[in-house]
Amino acid sequence: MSKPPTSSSAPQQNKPSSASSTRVFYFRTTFRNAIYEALKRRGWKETDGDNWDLHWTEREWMSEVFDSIHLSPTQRVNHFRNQRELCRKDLMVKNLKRHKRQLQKEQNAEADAYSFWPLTYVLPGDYALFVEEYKRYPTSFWIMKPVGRAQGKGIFLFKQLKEIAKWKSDSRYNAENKDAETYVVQRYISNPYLVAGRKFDIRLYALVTSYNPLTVWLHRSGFCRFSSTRYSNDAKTMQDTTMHLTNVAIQKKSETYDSETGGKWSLRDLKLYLMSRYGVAVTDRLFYDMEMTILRCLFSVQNIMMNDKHCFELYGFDLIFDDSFKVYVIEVNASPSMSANTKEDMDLKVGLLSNAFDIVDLEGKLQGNETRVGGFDLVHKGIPIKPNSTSQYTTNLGCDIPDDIVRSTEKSVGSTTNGGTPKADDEKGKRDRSGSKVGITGRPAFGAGGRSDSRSGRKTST
Amino acid sequence: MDQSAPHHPPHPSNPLNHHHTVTPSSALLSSLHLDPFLHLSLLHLKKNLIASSPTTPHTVESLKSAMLELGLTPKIRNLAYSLSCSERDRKSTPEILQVEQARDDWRQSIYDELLSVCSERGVSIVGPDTQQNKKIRYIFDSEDLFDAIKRIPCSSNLNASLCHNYGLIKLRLSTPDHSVLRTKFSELHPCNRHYGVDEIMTGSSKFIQHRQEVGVKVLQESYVPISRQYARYGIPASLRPEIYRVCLNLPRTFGAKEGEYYKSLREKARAIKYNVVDELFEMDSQTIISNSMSFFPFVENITNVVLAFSRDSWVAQNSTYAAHESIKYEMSDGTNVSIPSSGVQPFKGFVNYIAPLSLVYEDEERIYFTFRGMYSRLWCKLNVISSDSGALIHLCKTFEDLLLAWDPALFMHLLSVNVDPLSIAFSWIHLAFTNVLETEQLLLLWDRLVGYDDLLLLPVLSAAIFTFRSETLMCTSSAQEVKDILDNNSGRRIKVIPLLQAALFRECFK
Repeated sequence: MSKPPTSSSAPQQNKPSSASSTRVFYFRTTFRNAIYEALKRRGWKETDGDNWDLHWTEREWMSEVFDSIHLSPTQRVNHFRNQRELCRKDLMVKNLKRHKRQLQKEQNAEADAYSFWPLTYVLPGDYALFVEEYKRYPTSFWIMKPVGRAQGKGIFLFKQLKEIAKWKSDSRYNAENKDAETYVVQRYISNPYLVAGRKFDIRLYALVTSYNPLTVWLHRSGFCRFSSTRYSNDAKTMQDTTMHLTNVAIQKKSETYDSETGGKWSLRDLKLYLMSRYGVAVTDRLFYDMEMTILRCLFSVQNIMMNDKHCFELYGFDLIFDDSFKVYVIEVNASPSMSANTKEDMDLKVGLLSNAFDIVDLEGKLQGNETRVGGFDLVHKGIPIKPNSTSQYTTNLGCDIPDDIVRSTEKSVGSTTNGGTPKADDEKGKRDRSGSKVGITGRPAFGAGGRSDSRSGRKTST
Repeated sequence: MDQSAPHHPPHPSNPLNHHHTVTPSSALLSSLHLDPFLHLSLLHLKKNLIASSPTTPHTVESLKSAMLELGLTPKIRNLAYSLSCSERDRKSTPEILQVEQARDDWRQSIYDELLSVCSERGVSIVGPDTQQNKKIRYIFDSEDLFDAIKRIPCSSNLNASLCHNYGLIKLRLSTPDHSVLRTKFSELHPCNRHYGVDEIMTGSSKFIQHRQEVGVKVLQESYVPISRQYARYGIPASLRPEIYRVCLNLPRTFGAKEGEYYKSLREKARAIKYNVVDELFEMDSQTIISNSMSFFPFVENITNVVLAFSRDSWVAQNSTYAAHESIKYEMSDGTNVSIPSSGVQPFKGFVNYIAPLSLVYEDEERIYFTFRGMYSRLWCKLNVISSDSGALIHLCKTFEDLLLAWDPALFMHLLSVNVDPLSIAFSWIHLAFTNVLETEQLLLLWDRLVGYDDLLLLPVLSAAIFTFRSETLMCTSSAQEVKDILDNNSGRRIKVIPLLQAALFRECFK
């Protein structure tokens, strides 16, 4: 007899039995938010010991423990050893500049596209260089960001050099001092694109499962994080962090912060808004630029990242665009927040993580030729992967997320041939091929009668 | 690929292939004669003709070209079309006694509630607000309207067995059945390509390009019935602002005159405050919009629009139905004011009708005039107690009749767990699905409402959702389970057009 609908937190008892792997998987993590939720929903068990299949770690664990332990071939951790080359503000800029110089030396036209970060200097080291440049832009505002802190802490804006005189004179920040806290100083983007007079930035998620070949999955959805006060270029407002910094941690302190919506838009809302005002071409171009910006950041660290078959990383990219639709990268997070302040937020993050775990594929369900899993599109695997050529968009970013899995007929995406000469991919050939037509999440295609509610996994059997 | 099925005219999605003729009746011609806009236009035309060639006699050709130059042709054509439509729509049957009674009761109860809230606050409806006590509550919401309608009894002089036993609407109203709907909404047939289905399929770029090209031509024509025909197949986001404008017969450019008008409304709202009424509109906006995932950036704009709307007497004069009544108040200087001037009293969720437009239009002004146009043609029908075909009660009964016809077992099962299907679907219909669907889907639905100039798809979609969830619903054993399944949040995943197609043309999906 049919069961009444089960609650959404029940483990997946209704999975199709075509999944050949019935062994138990173990995870280890200290996080207790969407990460924990997503892992539990897979039916995995938690462990404190070393028998884990997947360890969702903190960056400190990576730098302190990872090098000293031996991992079995099937164990996975969620960071690359030197992720800070991408995720620390000063190192990211250093790598971007270096890569651009390299492209210029090779006279590669791509070098011109590497203009998606504002003028940046690392302090205290580049202080003299910064001052030279500062004089050329007398009307600009500048933003100071400590490289080691997160959530907007320690960030401030200034216009006059004397405003940072105090900072500079503090002996901790002496260039000679090895322990000086490193800052980046950037030319502030003072003409951000505004919606209803408010500034926002965009958080996008990219999953990298290998740097050799560079394999990047980009999630179609993301967030726009709005500031709660109307934007103004007036110098008097420079101290108002709620206007200029869109981090949720800062916004939460604002009086007008709305905890129900969290001041966030989905990427689809942004897309609809832009399409209504500017049409398809402009919107598509913008989203394409955002995708390319993410890829270019990854290209610039590709050769120095310590690739390891045990590693994958889910990055949170923070982007912004100005009123002429020029895209800038603000920073890259190796450990994007997986806490949620609304139900929709939680659903998106759990879904995101579940898709990511599907792609990491410890259970061995993927065939290896998928180009989309859940909301993630494969956008690069040694070579760029373009969306379906008959689609009206040049990128899938911002598009709807259908329920089925998409497999490519392109050989380059399959497991047998690759763009590069990866050692890590040998293991794919040995994995069990148990993919079923039903799709990795066990949901029937749209149109079949009695479709189960995708979120709660309710399914009736008659 | 193959757009022409045997029983459909070629290129059905190209409305320029349709012929729209208006045979002027004498009544129409006299309306035209009386129209002030037309008078002004003809004067203008005359002046222009005389100025251009004072001595040579004027031919039909020169007249035509002068009209075209002045941009009068589309305006007059649309005017004639609108007048002919409203003539057609004019109510011909008198209202049922019970319904009239219910409408009067409803208006009275709104009036009473409003005054009671005023006295709770210790203020009069207009005048200085010196009270510290800011306590306020909604005067009514969807549930109250639903109760008012549920209470209407079946006409006593009819054989009781002819009255519907299963639904909540007791009135014996004739509703369109499946075959009538299939004919009326024949454009929705899956053999036609639609925005809401086809733009995400493989091979879609040709379809999208075609739609875009046709849409641009449709806009050049700027003729109401052609734009409406176009809208029935769904509108690309970039063309939606303009297509809606034509479908609602709004001015081509929002020039100084419209700008001034809107400014004056906002001024009126600033100058004299309606104590409880304004606060309720503001509260509605603050609570609903600020908490909305999609519309929170526009809370200020929407608040401005709703307050301006309340001061606009145009609404009271030009809406197809007067949903509520204004309260007549005599000011201290002897002047009489209607509160609010629009004749539309605030209720919980009213701003939902405005919100989606904030993602379509850039300017507050355009949001305002589009919303006003939609309210006066469509949303007023959702808020009036009338037995007219196409108004709320009729739509509710259509829903019940459809669900009973499509899935009687489900209907009975729901009754057996003490759930009246209408109790769930009512707010969907009343608020035109604004509280259910994801924004893009909602706009695709509204494209069809505007295109057909009809709200009948609201009950059709409601019944379609029930039948779509039928298998899961049949397994429920309590009212709470039913409510959980049909929870408004679950609507965020609904795809409107495939659902409507599956419901109306189910034989295509076997």
